[in-house]
Amino acid sequence: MTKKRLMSLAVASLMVLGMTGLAMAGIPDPNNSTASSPSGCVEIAMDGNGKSLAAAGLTVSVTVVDLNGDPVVGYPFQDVWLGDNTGGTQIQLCNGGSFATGNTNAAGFTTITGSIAGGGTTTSGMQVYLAGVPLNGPALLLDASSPDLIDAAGNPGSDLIVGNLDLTAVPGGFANLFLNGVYDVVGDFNCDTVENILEVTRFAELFLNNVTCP
Amino acid sequence: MSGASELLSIRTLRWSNLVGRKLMLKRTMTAALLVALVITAGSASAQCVMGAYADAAGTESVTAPFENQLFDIFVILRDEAAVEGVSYKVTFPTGVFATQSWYGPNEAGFPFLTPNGIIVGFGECAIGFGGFDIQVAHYAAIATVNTIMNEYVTLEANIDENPLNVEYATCSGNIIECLNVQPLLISHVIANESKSFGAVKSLY
Repeated sequence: MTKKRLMSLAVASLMVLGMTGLAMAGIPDPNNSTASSPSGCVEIAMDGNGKSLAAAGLTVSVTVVDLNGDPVVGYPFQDVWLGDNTGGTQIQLCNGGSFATGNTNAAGFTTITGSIAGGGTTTSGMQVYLAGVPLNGPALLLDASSPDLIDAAGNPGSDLIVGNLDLTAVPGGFANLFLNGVYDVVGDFNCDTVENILEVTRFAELFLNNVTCP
Repeated sequence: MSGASELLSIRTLRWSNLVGRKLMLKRTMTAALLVALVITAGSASAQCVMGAYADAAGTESVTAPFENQLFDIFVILRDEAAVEGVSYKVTFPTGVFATQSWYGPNEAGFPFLTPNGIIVGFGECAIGFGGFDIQVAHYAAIATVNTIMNEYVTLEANIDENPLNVEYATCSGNIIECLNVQPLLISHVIANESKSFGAVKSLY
C-alpha cells in the first residue's frame, strides 16, 4: 500500500515536472540565452542618428533559447534590445530605441545592428534584454557615449534631453569632460577615440534644438 | 655587326635607358604629388576663406570706428561645404574689446570656450555651397582709446583644437582646415572730442 502510494506520488511529481517543462518550452530563458559582440564604443542619442552598430563593426549576435535549451523560434524582434548592464540606471532608451533586425530564426538566432535612440553613458558594459529581462550572461564589452550625460537630479545618467546640466555638471558634464585634458570615452560622442570639434557640434545639435525622443 | 655600329647600338641603349629612367622618375614624382594632393585634400581646403569684417556681408576689411562707440565685427566663413561648427581664436588690438557676442549663422549658435580659443557649434547645417557666406560670429566691439593706428583684429588657430590652422566641421562629420584667414584692419579710431565738440557747438 505504502509502495503504491509512493509510486503514485512519484508519477504525479514527474507529471508535474514534465508539465512545467512543457509549459516553459518556447519561453525565452535569460540564463540559457546568450549574446555576443566585438568590444567597442556605441554612439547613443535621442535622435537615433548615431552610427549604427553594424557600421561601427559592433553587431550583437543573440541566441534565444528556452529552459530546455531549445531555440525559441519567431521571437519578436521588438522584444530583443540592447541596454546597459545596470538595469537601466546608466542608459535610458527611447520607446523602441533599440531592437533586433528580425524575429529569431529556426536556431533562435537574431542580431542587433541598428543605431540606438536614447541617452546616457556607460563604461560598465552592455547587455541584451528579452522583453525587459536582461540576460544573465557576462556583459558585452561595449561602452556607450551620448551628449545626454547627466540625469534630472544632476547625477551621471540620462533624462533623455541635453540641457544645461549636461554642459555644466562637475565632474560629469560636457565642459568638464572636454576641458580636463584627459580622454574619456563617455565624452567622445562619436566614438572616434578623440574629443574634438565634432563633439561640440554634436552637443550643440542636441542642446540647441532640444532634441528628445520622437 | 661592325665595331662602329656596335658602339652606336650600345650608346643608343644607354640613351634609351637614361630616357627611360628619367621618364620613370617623372612618373614617380607625378604619382607622389598626386598621392600628396589626395592626402591633403581630405583635411585642408585651399578655397576656404575665413575673415573678420566690418559688415555682415563680409566686404569691408578696413574700419575706422568712433572712440567709445559700439561697432560691429563679423567673422565670416566661405567655402563650398555644409558646415556645422568652427574652431578659431580671435584677438583684438589693445584697447578694443568685445562687449557682446553672438555665434552661428542665425546668431543662435553654441559658443564653447576653450583655454586658447573658441569652438562654435551651429546646431544646424549652414550651407556654403554656391558662394553663400556663413556667419560664424558677430561681435559688438568698442575701442576705448583713439591712439590705435593700423592694427588688426586677427583670426588664428585655436591651438586647443589644431595648432596650425583655423578649422571647421562639416555636417558629415569631417574636419577641414581653413588655410586662408583674413584679418580686419582698424585703420584708426576717430577721437570723441571732435564729435563732442561738434555736439557742443551745435547747441549755440
